[in-house]
Amino acid sequence: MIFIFISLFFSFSFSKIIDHQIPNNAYLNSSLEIKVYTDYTPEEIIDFKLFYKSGNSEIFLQSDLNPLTSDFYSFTIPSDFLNEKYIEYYILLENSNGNFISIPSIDPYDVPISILIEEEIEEELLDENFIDYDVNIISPQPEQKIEQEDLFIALSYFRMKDIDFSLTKIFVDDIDLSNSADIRETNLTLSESNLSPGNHQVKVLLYNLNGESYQPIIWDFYILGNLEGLSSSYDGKFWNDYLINRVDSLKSYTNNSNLDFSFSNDWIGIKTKLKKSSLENPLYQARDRYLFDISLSDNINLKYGDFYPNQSDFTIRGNRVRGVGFNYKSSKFEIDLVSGELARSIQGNPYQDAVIISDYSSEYICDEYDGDNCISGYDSDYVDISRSGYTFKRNISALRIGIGNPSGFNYGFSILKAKDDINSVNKDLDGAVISLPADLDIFSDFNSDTFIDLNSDGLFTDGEPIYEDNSSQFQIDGSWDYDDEEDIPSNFLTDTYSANLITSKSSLYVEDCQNLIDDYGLVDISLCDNETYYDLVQYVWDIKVSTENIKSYLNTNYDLDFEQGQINILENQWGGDKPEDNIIFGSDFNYSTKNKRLKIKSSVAMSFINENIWNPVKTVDEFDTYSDNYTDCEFGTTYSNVELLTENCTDSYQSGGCNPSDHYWHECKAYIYFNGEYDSDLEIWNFNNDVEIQLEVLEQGIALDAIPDPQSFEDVFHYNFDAVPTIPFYNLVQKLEDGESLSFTDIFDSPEIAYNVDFSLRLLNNQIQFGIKKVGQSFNTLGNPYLQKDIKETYLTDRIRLFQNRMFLTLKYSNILNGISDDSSSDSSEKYDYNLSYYPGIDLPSFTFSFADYKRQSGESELYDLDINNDGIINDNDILDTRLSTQTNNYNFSVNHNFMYLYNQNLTFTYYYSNKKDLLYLDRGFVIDGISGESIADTSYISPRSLNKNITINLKTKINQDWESVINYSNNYFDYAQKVSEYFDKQKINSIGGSFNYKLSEKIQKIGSGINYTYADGTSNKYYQFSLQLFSEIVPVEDMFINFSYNYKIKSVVSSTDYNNSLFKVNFSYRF
Amino acid sequence: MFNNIIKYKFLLSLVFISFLINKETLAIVTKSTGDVKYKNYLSNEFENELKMGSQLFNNDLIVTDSDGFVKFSYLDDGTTIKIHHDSELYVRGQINKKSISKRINMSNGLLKLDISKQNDDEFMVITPTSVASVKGTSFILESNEDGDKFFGYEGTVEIRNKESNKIVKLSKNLKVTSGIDGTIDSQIVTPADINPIETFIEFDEEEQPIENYFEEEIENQTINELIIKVYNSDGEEREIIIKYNE
Repeated sequence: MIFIFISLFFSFSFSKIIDHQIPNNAYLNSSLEIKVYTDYTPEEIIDFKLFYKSGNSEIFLQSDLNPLTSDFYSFTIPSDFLNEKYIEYYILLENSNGNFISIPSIDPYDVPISILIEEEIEEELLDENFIDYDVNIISPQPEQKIEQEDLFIALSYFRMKDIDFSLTKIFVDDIDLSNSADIRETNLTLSESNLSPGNHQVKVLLYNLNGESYQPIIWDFYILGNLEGLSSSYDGKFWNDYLINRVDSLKSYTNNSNLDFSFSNDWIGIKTKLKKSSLENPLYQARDRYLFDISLSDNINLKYGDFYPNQSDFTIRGNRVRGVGFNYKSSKFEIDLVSGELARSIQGNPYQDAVIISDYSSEYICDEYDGDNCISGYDSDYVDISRSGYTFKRNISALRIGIGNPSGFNYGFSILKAKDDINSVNKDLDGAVISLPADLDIFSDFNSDTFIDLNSDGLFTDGEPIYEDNSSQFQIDGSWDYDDEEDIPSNFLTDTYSANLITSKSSLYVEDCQNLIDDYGLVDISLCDNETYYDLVQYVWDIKVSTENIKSYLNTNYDLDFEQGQINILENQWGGDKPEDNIIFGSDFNYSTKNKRLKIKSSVAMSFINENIWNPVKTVDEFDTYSDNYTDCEFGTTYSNVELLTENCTDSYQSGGCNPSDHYWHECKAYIYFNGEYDSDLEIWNFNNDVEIQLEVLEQGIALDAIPDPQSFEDVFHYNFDAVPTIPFYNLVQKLEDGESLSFTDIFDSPEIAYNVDFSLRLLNNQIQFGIKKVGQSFNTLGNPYLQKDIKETYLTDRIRLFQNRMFLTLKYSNILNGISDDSSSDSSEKYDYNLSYYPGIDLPSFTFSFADYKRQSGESELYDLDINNDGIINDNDILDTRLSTQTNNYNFSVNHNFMYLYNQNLTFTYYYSNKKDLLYLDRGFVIDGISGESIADTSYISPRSLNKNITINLKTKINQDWESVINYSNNYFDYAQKVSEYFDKQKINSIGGSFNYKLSEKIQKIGSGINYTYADGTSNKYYQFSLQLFSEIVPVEDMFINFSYNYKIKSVVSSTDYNNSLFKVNFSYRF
Repeated sequence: MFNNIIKYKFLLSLVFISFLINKETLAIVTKSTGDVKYKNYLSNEFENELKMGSQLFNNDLIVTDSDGFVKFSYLDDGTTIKIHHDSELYVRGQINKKSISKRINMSNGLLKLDISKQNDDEFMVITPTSVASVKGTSFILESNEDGDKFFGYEGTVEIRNKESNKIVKLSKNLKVTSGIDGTIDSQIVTPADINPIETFIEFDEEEQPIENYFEEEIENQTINELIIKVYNSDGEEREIIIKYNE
């Protein structure tokens, strides 16, 4: 027993994790790096992959996560995947035990992490990349209303002396009219007479002599005209994606058809997006999409269908909502309203455990007693039938009201309400089949013995030990009495949906094979290896019955009577997800000076979530004895002299149920009962000689009358003891009850609070950013379920421009504390990042150098009264040491150079070096040898140290307008743990590849091919991989595009299975 | 003393020459209608056309006929000059790093000037009768052989009569009349002065309706007269009338 406990203890203590901080931002057509932390050692990881797809795709593409250090992995999603409204991904790790761990942990395929893709990079980042301009808009003036014949566009950049006007571009309504414009050294002009009445926009792109871009100059104007001649325009795009993906043994295909259509005139703009997916299935969340987006003037926007609201990190951000969105925006006021559903209801697969037997039990009913002894009785069986595999429809309403100028002083208040619709999932599912538990008493005879599968063939072989006997034993040839359907009595097969023999497996760790001889009768010990996991196998009958027949079947074969409650069809409290209710109140404050040199962004929010609204709303009185047994009209008050409280007879004291010296509670006070009595005429309690117990308060709780009645706000929030927090601001209320004063820190440190403050200051050549973000461990938002909780981050960044913006220096400090609550172990990281970029000119190579210094600490050393070190003695050496202290230094150097050598060449060279040091190695990596008394290496300790070196060279050659080629090479080295450890691992990966593409004609814009060869050699893994890629781009007629792409990979793993994976993709699109 | 004069003249000559040889673009024509003649500073002949988008250089001459209209803007700060009918002026300016020292030499005609705030040098408008020094304002100038009339839109303009060297300040809703005889005085604009203002509205849609211009004048302002009766040594009664508005 103690062994089991210790095993459980260790399994919990050392349960391993993967952790991932979801990126705050993703930008259109920009790559996105996904970083994942895990404390699984490389040896324990069989497969570690990122599955990702863009918003218009249905099939996830997968890529290996690459080790950055021994516990950090990453993959950069290419920019062409960030071309829709959002990107979705999940992370999947397969460990050496064959278990899969994912992020998100539940249903990652259907509910992956979803990040809203922002169309424009935030202004701060724009500032970072663009140079400020100094121009005069000559004509027309911004927002000017002019007659059509007076339209003349003129811009002066007279004061900017370093303009390369050969690169200057001018767009009107996003149409490039640079060729029609007079672009001069100090100004540009454009006469455009084809513009219709209505709003128009000019955008001018300027570049300096180094090729660096200035911030785009954009302004609007309005051409006057008759209403009868209202300008209107429409455009659209139809496209279809067909994809066949073969990954290992899994082959999948998908087909998506999309239609985008937009219409606009001077007073209305309508956008429609429709998508039909081959993967649309009522058993999953919607794959089809539709959206009608209507804009009235510049102020009002109405959305109907699938859209992605973005109100705040703490309320809703990036999650798809199907419903209605309304937004009104003016220079002083904004209202943003969302109403719809975050998830549609799913009833579950009727043929795959949508209805289950969730519980079955047996109770002995005594029908004849001899005194207190039962002399006759019978077993009464019960079965609970429940629902599974369902999803509740999750309704959401969110509102944000903003007051003030969005680009000046702005205050916002927001509220989010999300609640599962309990009635959206049916209790009864017509046509569903129920799988009857194989270990029900009535079936137990049909099942085989459980054997230890020493030869791992899944079949019983003579000589393999029996782990557990059943009534039907194996014969030598592996057969048993009920190994054929015909052996089952016919009544058990009547009215069934199916009956199949299946294999039930579990696992057994055999440390010493002698135990199998002693305990399970193993004869030939040579069949067994010590310290090995073996399967425990039992053949069982899986009998399925439809819901229509289940009552009669159980009645006939199990003697259960539905009328007598022996078959209980659960109305609620099903085995799957519990329905939830969530409400969040938030506010935000933003301020920006007119010149935008100083910006302040802040927000704070408080959440309540109820994790099971099947349980009813509580009354205030129920709080009294929720956390204790004292009916003292207070919640949570504890006493120091509870030994005075004798037997409690509160429930029956008024009906004479107390014995002398018992205690009872009356009107919030405790009494010792002697002879008190209830006067039923006067309806009062007479104490007589009963004595009040003088209890001394140890910790003051909350008086019940200070708690609002949950039933009074039932419509706003469903409150019961499944709510988190149970008592909002409990610590604060306690302080007040104790007469202590409150501070702002107390409020902001509350676990149900999340806040962030961000200051941005542009000063001379510096852009300084400072901020704090904290999310309490009890903060929950169903609108942004991936928000990491129980974390506090502080950061300071300074971006410095030097040498006329040719050099950029970025300094960043951040401190991340995971586990800020008292009841969780903390994990703190301190990070320093330094980045230097130098762009001397367009014909000269550019350089980037970065250095990072990360320190991380977690865990503790704790003495246990268990045999932790497994030496058979419980003493001071039984210390569980989970401490971790590391320092990681990363260096990255890259050069990018465009030059002419025979042809136009672009060369990229990158060198990356990462060294992670174990600061506790001297402390934890050695033990004192019991014999010699000398310090020797502790081989059981696994040091988290690692080293990673990587070189990448990429050469892109543009031979002429038609030919282009790419050659790349990379070399990667990685090692982990200390050399004396059996977990020491090292890996070298070399990869070389090349590709070319050729423009065959105007109709065949591109055909190309690429090959890549990879060779990996390491302690635990050695493989060769060859991949071939073919692609083409065809333009049969104007505005019609057809792309083909085929990728084939052969992976040959030494001493393991070979893999042949392929991806074929056809894309068709037509613009109109 | 003599040396100083020589130096002074020499410096003036340098400035003048620098104006003449400067060939960098000063302004762009943003509107041109009717009969307009243009003479480039390098040319001896007039062109009968001045297109939108044309660049103007130092010492370029623009002449408008009875239906001509030209609008141009300086490149450094967007200062806009609108030239109406029967006008003749030289565009002048000197480029100093990031700004232009601007000057208009006008022999006769009708102009509206929307002058952005000038950082270093004042904008100079020179007629045969007057010199206006502007830091940043909008006003109309009507000039002919009898003298000049300035109509204030906003801001203030300092106007000096060349003959008398008297200086009067022009501000909103005021009219300054500068005569060749050296007289210069300031009066409140009245609806009787509508003609030159209205002329611009006809040609430039950006201009405010005339009602707006006089709105404050007509609706909100009451012109009061303070009459003081005095007697001269002969016992004759004289009146001093002071007009003012609240």
